[in-house]
Amino acid sequence: MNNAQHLWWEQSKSELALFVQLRKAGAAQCHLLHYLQMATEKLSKAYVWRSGKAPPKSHTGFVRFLKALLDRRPAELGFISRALGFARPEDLERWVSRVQPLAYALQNIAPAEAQNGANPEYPWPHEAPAHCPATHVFPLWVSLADEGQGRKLILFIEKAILRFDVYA
Amino acid sequence: MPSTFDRDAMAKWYAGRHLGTDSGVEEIHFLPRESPPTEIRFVEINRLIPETTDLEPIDFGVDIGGSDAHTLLVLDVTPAQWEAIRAGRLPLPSGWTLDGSETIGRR
Repeated sequence: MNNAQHLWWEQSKSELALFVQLRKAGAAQCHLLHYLQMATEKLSKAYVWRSGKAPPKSHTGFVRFLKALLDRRPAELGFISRALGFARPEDLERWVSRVQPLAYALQNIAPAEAQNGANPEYPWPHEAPAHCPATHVFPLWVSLADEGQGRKLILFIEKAILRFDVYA
Repeated sequence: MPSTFDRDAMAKWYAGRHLGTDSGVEEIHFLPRESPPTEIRFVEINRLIPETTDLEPIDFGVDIGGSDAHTLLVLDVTPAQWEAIRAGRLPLPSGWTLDGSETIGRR
């Protein structure tokens, strides 16, 4: 792991820790999504730094991270899969395909990507606010919290961040 | 994955994986011309990314070090951005060209 990766990883771990605390405290869905999205964005950027080149400044990246992970050499993919809780690389590959709609929804919920729609920070639409994040029920959070695939994604994110040093 | 580095074969392998795991990707364009011999350049047309996404290729960090070390650079674009690139209204990254490109789509 190079120094840039280490710095982005530290930020990702800190945001994940805050997500966990907010969830325990019963915070509004918007805050949970905000910190979960930010933690995955930092994780993605920490990973992209493995090439030694700076990632783009955009918020997107979590799906790209998942794809880049699967592009690793087969020998490396074996231990990466195990580190992330999958018995075999094929299991990780299949799961990534299935969870991808949720992963896209999470990366695209950042205000800059949300196209003046539902986002975890600002009332929307900007010109004539009709919704407030703090009181909004986010279908994405309902999926993450109440559906098996969503809960698995949160567990995966936690493992991917906490065990980043294994595969960085 | 091919056992030794063959750029064309490796490009097809990566493209197959990306099309297989990412339903947002509609088509991949492999741009071998004017790229270094160990560099694979993709333009991936993705219907699930926002228009605001930067037009900046990402190094996937696929195979660093070793005798088969190579680079995979992916430029994610929306369908509208792809049309603008083809029409010459949106530039590709410096040094990239569509001349001699190969299209890899879903079967």
